[in-house]
Amino acid sequence: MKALAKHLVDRMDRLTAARSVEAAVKNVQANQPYIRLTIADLAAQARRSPPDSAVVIGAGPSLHRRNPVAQLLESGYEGAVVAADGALGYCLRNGLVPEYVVTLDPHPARVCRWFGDPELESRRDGDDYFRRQDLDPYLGVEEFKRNRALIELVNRHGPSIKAIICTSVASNVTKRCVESGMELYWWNPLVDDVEQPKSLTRRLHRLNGAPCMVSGGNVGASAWVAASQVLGAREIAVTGMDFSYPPGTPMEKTQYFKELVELFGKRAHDALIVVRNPHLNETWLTDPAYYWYRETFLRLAAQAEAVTYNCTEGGILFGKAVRWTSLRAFLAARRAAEAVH
Amino acid sequence: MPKFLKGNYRLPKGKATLARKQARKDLTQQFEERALAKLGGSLCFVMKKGTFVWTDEADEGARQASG
Repeated sequence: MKALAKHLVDRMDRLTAARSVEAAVKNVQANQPYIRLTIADLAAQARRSPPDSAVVIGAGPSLHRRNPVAQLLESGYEGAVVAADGALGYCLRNGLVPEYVVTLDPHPARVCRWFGDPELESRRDGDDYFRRQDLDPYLGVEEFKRNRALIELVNRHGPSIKAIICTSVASNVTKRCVESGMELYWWNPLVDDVEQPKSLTRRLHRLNGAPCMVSGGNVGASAWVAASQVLGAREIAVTGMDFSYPPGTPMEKTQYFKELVELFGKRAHDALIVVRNPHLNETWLTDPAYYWYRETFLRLAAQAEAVTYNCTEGGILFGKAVRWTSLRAFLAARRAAEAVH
Repeated sequence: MPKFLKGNYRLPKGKATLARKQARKDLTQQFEERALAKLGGSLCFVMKKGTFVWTDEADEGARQASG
């Protein structure tokens, strides 16, 4: 890892706080009128019949390379399916209605797109994020038409989906979840040390009473935290959890490259990181934020009772705390376990 | 007027320089973090003592008692 990349990774928790906390707190206040059920209610429901296992669907590029939804449908998997917001459209288009969807990013405009954004056609902010992103490339072309189709899909299936929704999301995301008929289960983000006298997290908790949950820095990790700590799943497979870009991805196509060039000019390349995955024998490219996501995820997994299987079949999420396997093998093992019971 | 505002003592040299240096460093760091914030992730990651989900037990008790 080059010095510039290390400098950024080492500061990523502070940079993320600087980027997100102000917007998150503003959103918490705006979401106040909508807060009725919380993840405490969801945990109580789950305790009555806890899932043996869960599959968490992140929105990494392997989702579209490996198509885990086809395998899940084919196997008749009966455990809990928890999707990150960015994977919701992919799931629904491919015929899988996830029981849960998790959302947390406080961005005022972008996140709503994952649910189908009714304001897209009237918004003129020139944001090209969805044309550049690899989380759901399908939404990056014929944007208006596909957005309209997604609105319809989410509205059709919303009543069957439980949203595990962070109080930090923008109000347009809340409204989309509500109007599509989803049941909302709220949580506050843990943004600082609750033992400090002026803790912001503690203030948010007092404001709305919702439990505070570790985010892991990104929605995929939050979905995993919800599966293990709220739903109580003991065995969790994660798919689409790459935290990186496939071999051969040009640096210009990476998520933060535009910002890196703005900040560092010709040195932008030094901020990117290459990681050799020994399970795949491939080299994947990542940026400081994604690398930080990987590190935080491994820390979380090491502290959880649940066993985590990385079934992404791509990316850089490997280490002692995570068992590397294929989704096919995970599903076959679950079927065999069910047959025994 | 200026003659009345004139200081009649000197700050210990080392301490003043250190404080100024620290203030300058803090400011530089703040500017740097503001500029670099666009590279940050979705939301903070904070975790202490292996606690994944936190609820203030005292608050919860009070809430239930009043509800």
